[in-house]
Amino acid sequence: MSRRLDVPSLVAGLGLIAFGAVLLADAVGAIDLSFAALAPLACFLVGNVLLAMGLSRRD
Amino acid sequence: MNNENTENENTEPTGGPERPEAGGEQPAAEQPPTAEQPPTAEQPPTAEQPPTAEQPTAAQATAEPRRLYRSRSDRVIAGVCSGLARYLNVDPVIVRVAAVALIFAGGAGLLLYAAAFLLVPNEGEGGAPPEAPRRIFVIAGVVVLICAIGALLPFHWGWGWGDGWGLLPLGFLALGGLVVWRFATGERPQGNARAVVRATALGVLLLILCFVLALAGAWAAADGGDTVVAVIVIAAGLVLIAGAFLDGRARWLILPALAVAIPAGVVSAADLDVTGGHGERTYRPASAATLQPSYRLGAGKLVVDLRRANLTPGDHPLKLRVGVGEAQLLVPRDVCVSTNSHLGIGGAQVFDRDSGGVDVDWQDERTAPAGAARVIVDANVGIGVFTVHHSDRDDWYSESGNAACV
Repeated sequence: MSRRLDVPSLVAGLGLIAFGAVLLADAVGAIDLSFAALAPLACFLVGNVLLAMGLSRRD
Repeated sequence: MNNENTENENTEPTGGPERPEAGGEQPAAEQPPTAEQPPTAEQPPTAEQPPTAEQPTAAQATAEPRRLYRSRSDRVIAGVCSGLARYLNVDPVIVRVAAVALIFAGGAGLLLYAAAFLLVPNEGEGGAPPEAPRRIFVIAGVVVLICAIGALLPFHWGWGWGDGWGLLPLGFLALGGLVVWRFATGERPQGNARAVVRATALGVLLLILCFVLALAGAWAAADGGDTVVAVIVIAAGLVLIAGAFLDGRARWLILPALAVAIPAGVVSAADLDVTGGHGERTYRPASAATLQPSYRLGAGKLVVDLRRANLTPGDHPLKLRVGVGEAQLLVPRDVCVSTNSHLGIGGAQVFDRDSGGVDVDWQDERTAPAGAARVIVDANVGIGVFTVHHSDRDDWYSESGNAACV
């Protein structure tokens, strides 16, 4: 049985890993996260997930 | 053509027994089309065969209940009013005017329109199998959720149930639940009212779950667990990627993971730290010797009152840390105040000067004359306000500024 790739899950997963890495870097003091950086990052994450869900079809 | 129409048309009588097959090998009377065996290309319809969906018979028209659809051909937004007008056999303008009027009746028009947009199928889609969510629906869902939050705020602030808007937040909450359910499953609720109620309830439950997760994630990140939250977010991402290759079985995890990740990000960006406890704390050092170098509060109001501290001439460094809330410094009029403040979200007001917004780094460095005391304040407020005044009166703007400085 062939399994199809679920694009929204993939996009969300990659975005969450990137977002989590930024949070981790801020937590250990490697970067100083500000709202100026967080806002576009969060919009990028949510926007990509919405776009992937909207553009993909689910049988 | 939808499944329902297909079934209905095939339950009609097939006509005369002399209908020939395409190949002329078997008489039609021996193989009448049934609901399970719809007519195929090998069984072309004849004059005696049942009509197609585009040509319903009078018997079909009476057997099939009239259904409400959103119009495709005559729509301003989503075709709800036009579809309803067609259903009621009235002019669409009348329905549109009524819908606009209902908006001013406690917002009921908006609520009903949004509900109809979610529940009423497009023309030609009735009874169709679940379809994938579309971009416009996703965007609309987000807008509706934002409206729901906005509508809940006045209710929370006690504007009350009695002014006509009271039930609206609950309606929006139910609608938000419906949107979330569809967002999560990609399906439009089919069938009877029970299915719609069930979908709404599941959506509301998911909303509540996400709200709880958001609070928990934010609180954990602010209470020193920011590393753990970051690892959880990364782990959720890994699970989603693995699930993507298994027919998207982990897709349900997207919403809860976002609910944890975004508030945790806000906490990190605001440098929010609630480890200092919560509540209202007031410190009134009686002398310069009892003045501590640092005061901290997790959430609430922190007041440091130096008006009776009899500060000696020279510099007195002071750190104020508040996670969420207000940090207030009260100083006597003969003390100069030099300020260096950082606020994640909020505002700072030092006497008659102020600043505010997001990521606020505000310095107001002053120099004290010889023989005068100067307090050098380093204030950090995650979300909230930082104020410096000579008194806790209400008419702060009328008081003189940092007059003890040069």
